[in-house]
Parts: sequence; C-alpha cells; structure tokens
Amino acid sequence: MSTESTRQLVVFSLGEEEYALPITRVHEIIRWTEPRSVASDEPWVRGVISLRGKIVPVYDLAARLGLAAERPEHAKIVIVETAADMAGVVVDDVEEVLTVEEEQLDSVPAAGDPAIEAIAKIDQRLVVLLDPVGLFGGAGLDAEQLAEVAA
Amino acid sequence: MDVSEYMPMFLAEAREHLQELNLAVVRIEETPDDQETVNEIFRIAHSMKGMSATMGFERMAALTHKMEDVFELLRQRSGGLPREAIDVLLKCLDTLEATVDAIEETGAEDLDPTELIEQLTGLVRERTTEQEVHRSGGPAPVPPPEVVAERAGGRRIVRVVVELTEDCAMPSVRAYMVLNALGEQGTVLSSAPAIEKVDAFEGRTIEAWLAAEAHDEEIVEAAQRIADVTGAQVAEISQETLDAAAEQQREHPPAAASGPGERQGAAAAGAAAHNGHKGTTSVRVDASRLDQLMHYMGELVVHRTHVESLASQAEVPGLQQAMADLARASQALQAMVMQVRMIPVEAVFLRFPRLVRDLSAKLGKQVELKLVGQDTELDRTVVDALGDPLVHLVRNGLDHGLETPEERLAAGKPETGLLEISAAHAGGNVVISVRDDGRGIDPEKVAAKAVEKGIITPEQAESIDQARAAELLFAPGFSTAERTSDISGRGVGMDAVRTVIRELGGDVTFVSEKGVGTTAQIRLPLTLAIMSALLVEVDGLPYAIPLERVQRTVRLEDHVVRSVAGSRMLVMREEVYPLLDGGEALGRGLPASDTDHAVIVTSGDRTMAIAVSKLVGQRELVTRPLPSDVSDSAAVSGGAVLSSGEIALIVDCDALTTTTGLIAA
Repeated sequence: MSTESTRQLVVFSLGEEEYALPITRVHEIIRWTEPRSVASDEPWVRGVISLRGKIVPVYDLAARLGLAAERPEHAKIVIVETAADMAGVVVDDVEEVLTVEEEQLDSVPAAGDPAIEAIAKIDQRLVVLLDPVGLFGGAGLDAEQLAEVAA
Repeated sequence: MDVSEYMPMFLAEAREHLQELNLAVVRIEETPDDQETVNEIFRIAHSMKGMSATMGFERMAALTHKMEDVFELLRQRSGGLPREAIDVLLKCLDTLEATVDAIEETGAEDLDPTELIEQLTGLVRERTTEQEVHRSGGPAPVPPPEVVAERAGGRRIVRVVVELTEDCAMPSVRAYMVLNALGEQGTVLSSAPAIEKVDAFEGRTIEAWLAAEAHDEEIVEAAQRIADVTGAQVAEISQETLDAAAEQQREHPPAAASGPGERQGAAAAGAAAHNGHKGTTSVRVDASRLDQLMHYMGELVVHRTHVESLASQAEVPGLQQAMADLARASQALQAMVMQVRMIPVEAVFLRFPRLVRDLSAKLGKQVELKLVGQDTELDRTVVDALGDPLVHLVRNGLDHGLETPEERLAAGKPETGLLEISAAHAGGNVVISVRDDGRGIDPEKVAAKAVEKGIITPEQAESIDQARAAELLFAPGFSTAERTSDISGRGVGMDAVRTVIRELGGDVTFVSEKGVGTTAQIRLPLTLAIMSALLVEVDGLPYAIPLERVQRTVRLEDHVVRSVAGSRMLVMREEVYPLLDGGEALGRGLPASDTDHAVIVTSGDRTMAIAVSKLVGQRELVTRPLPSDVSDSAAVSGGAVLSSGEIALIVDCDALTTTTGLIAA
C-alpha cells in the first residue's frame, strides 16, 4: 500500500456505479473498438485488440463484477499498464481524475472480492477503487508486478 | 578509475569465460593430452584473471590465479589431472559463477576464496613432488632448434633452470632480471619464457639454454643474486644429445617440434590469445535492442502491406514499380534482421558436458555425451527459452532412461550409456533431439502409473501402445519416478516442458522402443516472428494457417463428408481425413454457420482437414504472442495484425492433433 497521503484515481462509470483505478496503472484511454473474439475459458475475456501492433487482451469489467453487460455506444477501453504487459478494461465512460486523501479510503475486507481494494467516500459519492491484480486473477501481470503491488 | 560503465561487459564476458572454462575442464578430463584445450584453458583463465583485477575484484583474481597454477600442471605433464583436482577446479568455477551473479546484484564480490585457494595449493604441492620424480626419471630435455644450431660454435651449452619463490609478486620482472643476469654469463640461445614475451610471464620456473662463457658456479651465483630466486640448477648438454636433437629436427621440421622452447607458460597462452582473435570484427549488442529492431521491422512490414493494398487501388504512374522496389528493400532488410537474431544452438548445448558429468557421477551411471550440430542456428529468443526444457529432458534421460552399468551389462549392452543431443534443420523447422540408448519407455508401467494417477481408466490401460504411452508422459501430473529424486523430480513435469516448447510455436514428442532407448524430439520453427500464412475466415473472423502446414485446399461441395463414430470425415479420392469444424476447433466452440472450404493441413504425424467459411489468400504476417489467458481452449498459438487492423489468430496445427488424439483415446 502506498505510503503517500494522497492518491490520484481515474474515475469511470459502469452502469449506475462509479469505479476507479490508480492513475499510476492507467496507460491510456482509447475509444471503443470491437475486440477480436477469442476462445477463452473466462467469460469476462472479451477478446484482443491491436494497440500499435501489440496484441492486448480486453476484459469486460461489468461481466467480471457481475453487472449488466449492456454497454453504451460511447464505451471506452482503459489500457491498464503492467510491468510486462498491458490489458484493456471496458468501461462506460471515463469521468475525471480525482485526488483523494488516504483517510477517505475505506478498505473493505468484508467484501471478500480481491478485485476491490477500497471504497472512497467523497461527499455523497461512493467510488470503488479496483485492484488491477485482484481484478483479473493476476492475468497479464507478472510476479514482479504482484510483488510491487503487495509491497 | 571508474569502471562501472564496463560492468555489463564484464558480467557478460565473465559468464562466457566461465562457461568455456567449464567445458574445457570437462574436456581435458576426457582427453588429457589435448594441447589445444590446454592452451585454451590458459588463455581464458588468464583473461578472466586480468578482467577481474581490472574491475577491482581482487579475490576473484586471486582465486583465478591459483587455478592457473593447477592448470600449469597440465602443461608440465601428460596424463591429465586426477579426478579430485578436476572436482576442485569445477567447484572454483561454480564459486566464480556465483560471485559473478552476486556482483550483478550487489556490485560487490561476495566471495571468500581462502578455503578453495588452500585446496588448490594442496593440489599443486602434491603434484609438484610427483612432478620432480617424474622429471628426473624422464627423458633428458630436448634442446630447441636455436640451441642445436649453436652446437658447432665451440662454446659449452648448458641448460639453466631457475626457481622463483611461491609468493613472488612480479614474476615477469624477476624473469627479465634472471635472463639479463644469465646473459652476462654467456649468450642466451633460447628461454622459457622467451625474453620478448617475458611481460606476460606468470610462472615460477625459468628455463634458459645458454652458450656459456662462465663456469656453472658463476652462473648459479649470478642467478641467485636476483631477489625471489630460491634456486638455480645448471646442467651441461652433451654433444651427443645435441647431435641426436639435430638428427630428430631434420626429420621433423622445427615448426612441428614441441621442445621446451615452445612451452612458455602463460606467455605462450597470451600470444595464442592474440593470434586467435585476429580478423573477426564483431560488436556486442544488448539483446533488448535486437528485440526492439525486430519490433520496428515488424511494424514496417505491417505498414508496407497496408500501403501495398492501398496502392493497388490507386492509379498513379510508377507507383507499382515504386511499391515493388519498396517491397524488395524491405524484404532484404527483414532477412538481415532475422539473420542478426540467429545464434548457434551451441549457446545452450555448452552447459551439458558439465551437467552430464556431475549428474552421471551422482547417479552412479557411465555416460558418453555426444553433441551434434551445435552450429545449427536459431532465433535468439528460442535459444534462450530452450535451456530449461532441454535441461529437463537431459536430466530425464539420465535419470529414467539410462540404466546403471550393472543393469546394462545384464541386458547385454555396453557398460557406458550413450546420450546424444543433436540439432538439425528439417524444412522450415529445427529439430532438436535428446536420445539415449537406455531402457526405453515401458508402456505397461506407464499405463499402470497413469491409472493410479487417475489420468486414464483401467480399460484404456488395457489397449495402451508405445506411442500412446509416450504421449501420457506429457499429461499434467504424470511422473514415472517411483520416488522423487533430486535429479528430475523437481515438481515440474514433462507437461511444463511441452508448455514452454508450445509457447515457442513448436512441439515435443517422445519416440521410444523398450530396451533400446528413447528419443525426445523438439521441433521448432526456424524463425518466430514473420511467417507466410494462408489467411482464412470462419464466420467473418480471420485465422492464419502457417503455409508450411497447408497441403492443399478443397471446396467442400466437391467432396463427400461422412460421419464415422460421431466424427466427420472428409472423403477424398485417395485418402480420408478427419474434418474439424473451424468454429469449434479455433473459435469459441460453436460450429461455424457456413463452411464452404476445407484446408488440409499437416498436424504432427497426421493430416487433418479444417472446414472454413472463406479462403482469403496468402499473407506475410508478423506474429505476435497472444496474452496468456485468452486462448486456452482453442488451437491457436498467436496473433497477427492484418493491414486492415483486424487481428488474425494463428492456427496451431499441432494442437489440433492433441484434441482429436484425446477423443480417439
């Protein structure tokens, strides 16, 4: 966990809810392109896209979190950076970059979902901070990355 | 001096040197009189010492220096070193390797060489005593040609041997002084070290042939006035010896004579190093830069194909010619980039002599290791990734394949088993085999084990044959070892080996005959990154089938498709092939809605047909790895970005075999 007192989060919407990823993990945000479907055992693997010649997996965040799978037309793909690779995450829209105090983050051990790192309470809003490693079972992240996140 | 910028080079070269030394030491154990190897050992050890000292790693330098003393024994006497000496030397090399690793991590040498140095000193002492006995009992030293030429000069010819103390700090300086002092007592005809090579001298014994003007005692006194000299012996060479030597040298021209004149300790080794390195100009390049180059090359090819497809629609005079020129230049560049990435498979093979030596000793087995086709070239990434799987196969062969000498004798085989690691080109592939002449795979034993592990049913075990048993070895969770040995039972099985090889786009199989031996065969594509493929579509999604696997394509309406035991078979005039549905085999598992064509492909040893919707045409594709978890249930092994920006998945023809193989089983 970071020792700094503030963190910057990229906040995006998914249905009625708001989610966030640490900005240090977000490489870029691209417009929706239909991923090339692949045969995966995981239902939330939407397929692969080409990002400047590199083949990057795209994960359906809504399916992963058990939300409705309908995506609006202006859906975006957030490219999450990992030490060895990158992965795309499908979201409805990207809203803002938010700076939060560490104390605004409540860890949610009871949730039992490794995908969720904490919940940020900002005024009346609840923003779910996602853990990119727990989110996709470490998919696409290597051990070094895991160690770095755990540190 | 700040040497940190040389660190990467030091690390790379040190590792290279250590590997070469490992190899040379194992070789010298087998063929002790291989003078070339002895010289090589000296050359490498010497530059290793120099490098370490330059970088300020004193303890490494000290240890290497002491090792040189032991190597010196090789020069002094034929018959090689005893096993204990080799063991100590190899232990030193291990320690040095560990030190290099530590230096890479921490920047400091974490090494206490005292104990090893003591062991080395012990070896030198023992051997030196032996040595003297040998010398006095041996034949008289043969005078070198320049001494022989002097025999008619009328002066007394003497051979002077001067010994320096063991802890002499600057032997080269002392040698220079000794030779100068001797020069005052007569004419130095020949010496070891030679006067012009004295700079590199590291030994403790100076030998000189003198046309003496002084008495023996005066010569001894002159030598002993020099600091660090412990003793000097002078012996007159009789006229008969000189005549005999002259006779011999007439028969064998002086160039071939290996008299003491040529034994010049480290000096000769240094000179050899100079001669050996002439002519080749090469540059060390960081491997990641090569990858980068490859990546850009790939992008260039993608863009070129895109521009080509646009150009075919445009009507600009001269554009077609310009495109053709661009294509030619780009292909030439591509070929060159691929070639730059190729390195000999030797890089992996070199670790095996040592590995086999240590393992066979541990297992109490006698093994002759044969390396074949070491200069076969492969893409660097493949060579790098090949190491671990090969080590595993070699360990497996030694541990499970080869029998103990007693078992072998009882089976009517020679005591010493054979392990052959070979590499060869076969079409667009490189085939790497690990072959042993051991007990072979026992289908019944394998079947029993597989039943016990719940991999197959007892009924299936009934009808097991050699080929299927060999295939079972790759099943996850299978291991034939009755007990987990520390040799090959390391928790990783053959399934891990197969996974790595498949990730490289290749495959691995066992061929075995009970009692005769087992061959593990790794088949790898020559180059990974760019390939020619047949582009097809299944329900609008593009797939690429490696062209070398495509036998032919047919229209399905021209042929009969029959159902045999639930599987579809394509009936051709001369053959019947299993017909797989493209959607089921390559996609998300649903049958394709319309399939008009079939592509007949080679899949392992078999031939299969894949039903597809559309044939698009031949393309040159830049292959990219697929993310690890996205395609686990389909027979695809990579992806390629098409000029349209779409992604084609690359069909893994060998994975097709497995799927149907399992169904058949």
